[in-house]
Amino acid sequence: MDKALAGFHRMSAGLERGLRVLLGVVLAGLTGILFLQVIMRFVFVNSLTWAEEVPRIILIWLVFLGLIPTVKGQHLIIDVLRDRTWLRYLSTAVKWAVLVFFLVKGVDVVTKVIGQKMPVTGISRAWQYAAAPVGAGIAAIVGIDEFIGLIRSRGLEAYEMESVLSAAGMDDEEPAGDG
Amino acid sequence: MELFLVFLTLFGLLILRVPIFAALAGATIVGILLEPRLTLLEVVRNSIIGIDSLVLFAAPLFVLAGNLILVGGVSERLIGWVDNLFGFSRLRLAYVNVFGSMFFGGISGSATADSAAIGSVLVPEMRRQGYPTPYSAAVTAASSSIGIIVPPSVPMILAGAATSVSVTKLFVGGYGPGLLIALSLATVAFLRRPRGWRAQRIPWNWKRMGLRTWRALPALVFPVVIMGGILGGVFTATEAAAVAVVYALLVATIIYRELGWRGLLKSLSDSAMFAAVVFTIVATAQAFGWYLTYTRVPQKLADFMLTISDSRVVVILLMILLLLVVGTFMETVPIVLVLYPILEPISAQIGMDPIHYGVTFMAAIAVGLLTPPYGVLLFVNSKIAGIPSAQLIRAVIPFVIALVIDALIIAFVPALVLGPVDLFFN
Repeated sequence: MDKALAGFHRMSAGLERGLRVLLGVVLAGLTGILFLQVIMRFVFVNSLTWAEEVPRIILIWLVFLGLIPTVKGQHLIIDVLRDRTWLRYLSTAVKWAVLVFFLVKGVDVVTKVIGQKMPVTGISRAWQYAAAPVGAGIAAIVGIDEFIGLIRSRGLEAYEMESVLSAAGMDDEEPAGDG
Repeated sequence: MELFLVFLTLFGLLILRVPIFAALAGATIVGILLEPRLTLLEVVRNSIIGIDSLVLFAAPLFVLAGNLILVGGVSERLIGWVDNLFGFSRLRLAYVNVFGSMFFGGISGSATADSAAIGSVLVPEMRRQGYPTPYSAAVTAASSSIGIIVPPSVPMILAGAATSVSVTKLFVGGYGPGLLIALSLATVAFLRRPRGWRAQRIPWNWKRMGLRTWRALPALVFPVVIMGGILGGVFTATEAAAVAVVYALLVATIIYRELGWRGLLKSLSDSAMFAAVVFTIVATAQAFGWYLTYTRVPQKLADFMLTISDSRVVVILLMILLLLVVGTFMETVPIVLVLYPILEPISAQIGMDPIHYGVTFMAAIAVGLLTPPYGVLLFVNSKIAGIPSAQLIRAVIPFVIALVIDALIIAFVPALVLGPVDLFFN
């Protein structure tokens, strides 16, 4: 059992690390598309027709897949009450319920919009909407690891809140370098 | 009654340390359960509609550009340039701090990035020259708040996503108030100047000035390229952000040669995570906002405020007071996403120009970056300066007062905002 749990922890941690890098690369690709659009329009006077709808699809995927590496403790909270173990349980449970909600209702939404197409590219809107159940679903599975961590009191220290500051590039170890 | 329960859920969950995106979703779910005509599907649908917008991209890209240009060693060069401008004053490092923040605000979109860029270089230097650290940290913290007023600004982009206001016009409207705030903070820095630091003047030297300008040129040109491109109609705000990233990348790798692969990858991944965290809140805030609009909350609140008084002055004062209070315990992102669309109809009813309203809003919530219990800039700067936040809070009070007065001036002198806007767009 212990071995299985440790394996699960390693797997979810690995997934999170991988997604951090992957989504960074995705962001770079998006920058590339937008930049290309500017060049095409002004140098070649020929706009890329897909350069609006495709980035909009990618953005939604970026956000919902981004839930997976951030949902464990990096997310923005209001820091009025002090951090306590029972609060951790409570807030983790609410967060988890919301993720499951997005998974279940997200599937419903996707089945509803499956026939709708985006006007320019003709891509089905389902591709856009599918990001919600997929991202929230995987985040909910990875979120189980947070529960296990709490129960085995890897607890408060294991997921020290990093807050959005670290996401914006302000880390403990490099306050000078890259905020 | 239903509304009461919805807001009770929202604030209850927030106080219990539930992440903001989940608290907003939870409150919306409760609201829909209490309203038989609505279906739960709408939570997910509206969340996706909320982030189905290219304008939003501008936010992480401007953050990325700021990160790249920081890693690329631009801040030292920028500070070196401003430093030369203020060589005539013995208090020059304090002024360098304020105006350096203003320039840096013109590059990055976030106030915390400003603090990191300016504070990590200047606070140690000011300590070396004998300035008390709480004073230096307070100047850094206060002047970083300019970052959300001077374009590019992440909260302005979010306002553009939450309502139909033009981000470009908000950007232009931020210049006047940004300058006003910088001047007022420099004044406070002068009035509160510490005694006993080692005075240093640098005599004016054209050659050195030329050299430093040359070295800082890529950083100085940056805001001109970005805003010039937007105003000249060459690109949209989102495309401008992409151009900013490419420009920052070129500067950091080719001109200054201080950015390696690891730094690049880390900046990319940090910005992507920033987008993920902030935009999940954008998504569920949209669902919550949709519910509020359905139940006509903004309209009811507007009516209520106008029953208190239909005087323009009183209503504006009430709005600013509300934002100041909310700003003490909430982050700028959720404040913009939740309150900006709610208060907009009120400002419209008293005849406030939408751009003037937007910039006033930003000036009011900028104060919240510096007020406990939740003031991001207090945390960041006490960390950078290595002092307890209580010391910083005491030192920052006079600056906070100046920022409140600035917000009032901005609210009651529309020309400050609208002058440049009219100049560029009419």
